[in-house]
Amino acid sequence: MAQDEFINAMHQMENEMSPFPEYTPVGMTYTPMQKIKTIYEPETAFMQGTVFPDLDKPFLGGRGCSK
Amino acid sequence: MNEMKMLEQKIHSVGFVMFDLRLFLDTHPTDMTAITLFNKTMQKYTALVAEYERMYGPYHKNNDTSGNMWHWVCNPWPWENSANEEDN
Repeated sequence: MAQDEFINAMHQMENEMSPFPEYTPVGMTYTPMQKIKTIYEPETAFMQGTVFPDLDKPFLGGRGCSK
Repeated sequence: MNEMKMLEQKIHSVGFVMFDLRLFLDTHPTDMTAITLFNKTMQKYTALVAEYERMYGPYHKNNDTSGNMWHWVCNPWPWENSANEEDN
């Protein structure tokens, strides 16, 4: 596929894409597609271990409940 | 923290931003926001490394282009005290 065609296809896919797939059979796990919004300043990103606020999750420990 | 350490820390932080944006771009290769951010960050990184090397010698060992002397060995080695000063 030519590069332009590939890029167009990707753009179309991204625009039309739900963060989840159209069909979601049971018993499978799904990861929603990440969208970029804002990013942290370098110092904050370095300390938090990610540049994306969306992925900056607190570590709570334990099984699904905070301690 | 002395100025050299502060500059090193800045380079580490900006380098990390580049690294994380690169991972995002692996799965979103046509995301213009990410591409723009990556390019801006890379410019910043290059400028910071250039500033560091102008003042303190090679930051990456592949950047030693000084000609008559291998300056890389003049930096402190990891086991030397001066490479492990406390940050505070």
